[in-house]
Amino acid sequence: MAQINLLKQSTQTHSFIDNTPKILARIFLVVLSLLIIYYLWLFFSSKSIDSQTAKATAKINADTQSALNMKNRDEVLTRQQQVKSLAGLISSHVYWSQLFPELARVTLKTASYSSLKVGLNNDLGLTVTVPSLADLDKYMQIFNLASFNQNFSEIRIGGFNKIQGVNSNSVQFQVLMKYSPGLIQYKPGAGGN
Amino acid sequence: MNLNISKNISSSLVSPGGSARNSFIEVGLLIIICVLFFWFIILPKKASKDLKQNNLNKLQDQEKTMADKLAKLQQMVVNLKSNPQALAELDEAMPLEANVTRLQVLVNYLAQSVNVSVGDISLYGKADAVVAGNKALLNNPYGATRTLQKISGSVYVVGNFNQLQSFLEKIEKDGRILEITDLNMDGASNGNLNLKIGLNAYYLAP
Repeated sequence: MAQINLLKQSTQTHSFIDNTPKILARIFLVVLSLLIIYYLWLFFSSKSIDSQTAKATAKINADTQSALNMKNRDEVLTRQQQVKSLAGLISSHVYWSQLFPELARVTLKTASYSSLKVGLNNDLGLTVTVPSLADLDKYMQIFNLASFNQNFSEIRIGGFNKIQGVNSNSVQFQVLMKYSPGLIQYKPGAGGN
Repeated sequence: MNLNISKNISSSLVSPGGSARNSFIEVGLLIIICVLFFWFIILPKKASKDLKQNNLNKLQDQEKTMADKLAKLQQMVVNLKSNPQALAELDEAMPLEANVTRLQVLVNYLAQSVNVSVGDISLYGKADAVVAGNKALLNNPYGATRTLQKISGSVYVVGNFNQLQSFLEKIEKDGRILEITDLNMDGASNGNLNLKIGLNAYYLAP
């Protein structure tokens, strides 16, 4: 009597449906394995970073101690402070002696100064003596010329009075003016240090 | 009739989709495990590792900076010891002590060097400044914390214009940084001029 295989036909029908979950399961097993490998890599990388961090910290601490304990360190720092302080002072150092030649250049030849008062607020006060009122006017007009008012400006006159001399009369007056701050700053070649 | 039925036919025949359903459950569980593992184990570990890496990078930068600074400091110490002349000039320009008397002597010397007559030199520093005999400072001159301090005052001299201009130039160009704050000039007897200047000088002291 012939044998009848009742299973064969059924297996072929369901083979794809049966195998798909198995394939998926294998795929996800592989994924899980990769995740585990990745985790292990992260774990050992993390350990390695910890080790490098400890080394770097130790090196920084050693360098810090070395710097702190260095002989002459305090002197170096003090010298550094000296240099920094000096740099600030030198940059603002002024040369009053540069004022006089420029003042002489812009002064009328017949005028003379009997007093001078000047400070760091850019104000210059002068007592001027000229032979006549006409010279006083000329003295003022000079500062209207571009080539003479570069360093002196805003000329103001106080009261003036006539002075009776032995041989001649003269006029004395007070002048207030502004001087340019650049005039007393260091100029290379002007003889400053 | 002789029927040859395999042993596992019973389960296939009784529940044809049972094995497949189990496998689907297995796959589902695997997916859940993967997601949970990734979300709760991998991601925190990665975040932790990235943070550590960032910290390490910063530390390595700091380590390099520190090593550079140390090398620079060592070089500075070498330079310091090899240039005593520059140090002397530095000490002259910016003294480390509040010695007003020495400044008065200096101004007097500058005046005499251009033949102007000294009328008055009036200089004053910090009222409670210790000018000598500071044992702690003498034992450790560079250990103290110093600040920039000022000696102020005025100088009154008499001379002709050229002498006074030379005196001003001497003050301006002296190795000690002397700052003229204001200047008054007027006539004196014998064609001379009076010059009164305001003066500031600086020093670094505790």
